[in-house]
Amino acid sequence: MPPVGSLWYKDAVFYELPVKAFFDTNADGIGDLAGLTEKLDYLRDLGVDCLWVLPMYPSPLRDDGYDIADFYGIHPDYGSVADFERFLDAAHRRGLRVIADLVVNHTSDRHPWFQEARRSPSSPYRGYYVWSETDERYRGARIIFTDSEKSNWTWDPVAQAYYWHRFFSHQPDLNYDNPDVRKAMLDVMRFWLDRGLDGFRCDAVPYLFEREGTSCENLPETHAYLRELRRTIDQEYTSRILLAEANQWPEDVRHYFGDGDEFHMAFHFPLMPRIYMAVRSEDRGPITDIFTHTPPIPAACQWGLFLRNHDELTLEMVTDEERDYMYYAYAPGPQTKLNLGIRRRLAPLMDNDRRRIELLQSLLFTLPGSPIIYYGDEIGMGDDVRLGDRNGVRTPMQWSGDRNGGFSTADPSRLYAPVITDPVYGYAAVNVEAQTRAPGSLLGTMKRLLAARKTSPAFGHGTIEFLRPRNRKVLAYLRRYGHETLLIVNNLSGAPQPVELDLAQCRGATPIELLGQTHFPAVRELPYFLSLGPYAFYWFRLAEGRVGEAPYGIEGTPI
Amino acid sequence: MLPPEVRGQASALGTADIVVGLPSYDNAGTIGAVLDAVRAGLQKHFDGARAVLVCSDGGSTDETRAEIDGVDWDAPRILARHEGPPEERVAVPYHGVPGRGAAHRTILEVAHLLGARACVLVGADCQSITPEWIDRLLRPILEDDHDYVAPLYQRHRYEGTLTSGLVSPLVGALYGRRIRQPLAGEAGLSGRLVAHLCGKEGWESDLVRHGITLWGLATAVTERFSVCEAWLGPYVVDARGRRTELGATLSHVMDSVFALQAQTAEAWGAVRGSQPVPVVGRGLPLGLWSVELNVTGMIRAFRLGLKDLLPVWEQILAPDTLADVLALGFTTDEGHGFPHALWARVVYDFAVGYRARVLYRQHLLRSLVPLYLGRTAAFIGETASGGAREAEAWIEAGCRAFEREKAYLLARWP
Repeated sequence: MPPVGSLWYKDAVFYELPVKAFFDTNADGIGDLAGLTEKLDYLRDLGVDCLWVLPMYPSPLRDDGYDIADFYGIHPDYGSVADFERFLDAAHRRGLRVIADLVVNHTSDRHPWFQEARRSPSSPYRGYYVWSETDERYRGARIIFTDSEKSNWTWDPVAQAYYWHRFFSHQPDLNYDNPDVRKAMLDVMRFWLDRGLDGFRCDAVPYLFEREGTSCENLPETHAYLRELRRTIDQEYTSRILLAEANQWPEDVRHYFGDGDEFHMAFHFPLMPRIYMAVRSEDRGPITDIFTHTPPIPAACQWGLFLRNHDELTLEMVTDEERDYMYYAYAPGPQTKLNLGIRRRLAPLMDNDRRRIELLQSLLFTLPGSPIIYYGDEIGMGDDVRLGDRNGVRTPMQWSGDRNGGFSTADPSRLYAPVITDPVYGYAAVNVEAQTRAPGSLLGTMKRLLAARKTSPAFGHGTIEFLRPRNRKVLAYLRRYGHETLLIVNNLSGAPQPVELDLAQCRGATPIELLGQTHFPAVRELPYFLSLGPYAFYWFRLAEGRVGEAPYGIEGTPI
Repeated sequence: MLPPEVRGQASALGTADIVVGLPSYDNAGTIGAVLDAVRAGLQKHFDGARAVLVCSDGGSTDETRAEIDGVDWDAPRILARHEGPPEERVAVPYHGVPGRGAAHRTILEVAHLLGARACVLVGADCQSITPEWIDRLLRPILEDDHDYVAPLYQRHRYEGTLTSGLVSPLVGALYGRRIRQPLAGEAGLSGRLVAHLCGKEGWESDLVRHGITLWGLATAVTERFSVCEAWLGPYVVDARGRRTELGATLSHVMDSVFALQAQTAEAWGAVRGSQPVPVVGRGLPLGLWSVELNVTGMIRAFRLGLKDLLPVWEQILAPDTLADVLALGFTTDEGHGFPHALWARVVYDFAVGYRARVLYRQHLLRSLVPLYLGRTAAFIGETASGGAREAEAWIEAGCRAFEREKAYLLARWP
């Protein structure tokens, strides 16, 4: 089992992956749990700590598995519950934890609960969903998928009533005013936790309850139920976590931490687009500004940080002007836009510029929170914007230069999605095998960054203090935890930059660069001068005497 | 190449029988006592010999130079100032003197210029030096015709583990001579050896600049100069100038050792086994006094290495060696073993990896640290309940293992 520690998620680096895209062992063109189990050594060697498995439940797959048809099963394309248990055991043996998606807000319209509910008003499941004779209720609720949905109500000819859905019309919302639903979802969680799962990434949590005259988001009733979930899990299990997906402003997401009695973690959605804006505009302002609007969170809670994920690069949490800028900068064609976002992977967003990709990873790994890596981004995989919806960023993992990128031995026409084949991002040019053999590859850099990140608890637990050098192209900050102080300096510009940092508070300390363990000149009275190459970054430990681990007792006399 | 002002001072002195060299850097607290011991040693044991003191300072920011100026000694002296490489000025190396290579070069060239019969090097931060040390480092040269006198110190059994567990066994197996302190700051050199070293190429190389002590000793051994060891006594230094992080020390030291190994492959390739060198003076047992050791921390560092450095070690270690490392079973904070032969193979693999540049050398060297800590923890764990004899036996067994496994090194050497 991985090391036990109730705050493990604060030190962890997460890795998000869809089972179907990772590795196919039975040559049916679809990744499976046996394949994922086979690739666990790769993930361990990469240096991640916790895997976030996208929905693996039985589903019609009209929303990539977020339309769950059976909370207690495994999609037959991926394997069985027994396969999942074997995968969990194998991951734990390697020191890896596993959390899985759980869609708490809605089900698929194929779910037996909904099928029962629609057939009869007297069905015990009728009350599992939100029905209405009119589509006029809850008009204060916005429509999230503006590209495909015109209303949050859809008429069901079988039920002869409208049903409520905040997402696609084939995903009816569960009715959390019904105590049976609240209990049913707790039972679902128990089922998976009993099998060893380390927690859940809870999808779409702000929308559980509906109240007239409100936006139907972030309601007090929702928080009350989330506290009940957390209390139950804490009472019945140890070291399990809940991660909230709440695409909201930080002050709104803050409520999902409660007093440390709701979610352990929540995504910091507004930070992500601002990282891209800062690098594109070569100005630290967007990043420092969003942190001034980020409230403190309880000590045991943690932000989840990410650069990209399985969805579009969402621009909901930016202003209209910022959104226009992001579209201008990162979405060159209409094909790349989806809903209020950009459906591209990290490497294409960065024009495949290694320096910029690594700079963004540096920011991801050093800003306060636990980083979440999206599968394939560690090798710089590309996307395929010709595929519909968000499928362009969900293509098969590129393992080697072999057939189908080493993902599957199936006939290429049987793959769930085509492998990327273009000359720049195709599997012949970008794959794990080649990068494993080249220590200077992006994969090699990622491993070194992750290894360096493990050397200090300040990355996961530390406070942040932004420095304010005159050169706004440089983003510098101190991370502090206990006696440990880290200095992180990032050049957001494509040209070399000088910077003078006011480190008077650290006078006498010796900056030790964490990737090469190089000692830099000690901090003196004058501002600390550094020069940085294009998109370069430094991670320093400011050493004042010995820090971290207690002395071994042989340091003074090794020779 | 001597700086003009130093050459001028040396030329004005004409000749010398003995040159005493003292590299220094911020040693105001200790250098006065060191100079007193040197002066007393020369007066007591070599009265009448013409001795010249050469102090080479690396840019001290304290009162070191004032201490040198103020010492009560009428012997001729040359005050030099050497420049350390930028990286050593930023992070002072484990031996405490930025640019120690440049300082030694200055001292040796002055000794050569003055035609000295012998040159003795002493560390300016040594707190346990006595007048007898000067006698023991010089007499084997002046009376017994030896060319290089390496020191032997009385130390605690768990001091100097990098030397006793890694450098000494490796150097002994490579060059066939058993030298317990190949990195020491104290040494005696004959005029003949000094002249030979001054005439050699490569003084500007990183190897000589950073690892001059080892280079000088290896030159003496491989080019068939007469080498001996001399018991000096307890070894205590002012630790304030040596506050170097363990990883930096290991990296610095092994960079020199592996570089030397790569450069001298022709010299050591045919050597098998090892021979002791003559020892002058009466031996002293390893110390057993109480010291505070964090063996659990060492084991944890090893386990962390297993978890985080495996991808790096996979590039360095041969598959069978890596498998044996993984099988060591450091699954708890409790005691464990690290077989001598496996340790030798690990070190040889690192030497091969360094030579072949399988990855950035500083990363390679840094990744040796957890393995070294694991090995040291095993040393402590297996000898803590015994006495000096057991610790000596363990160290010796390690040395013999390096010799036995040399075939492994030769088979893998690129």
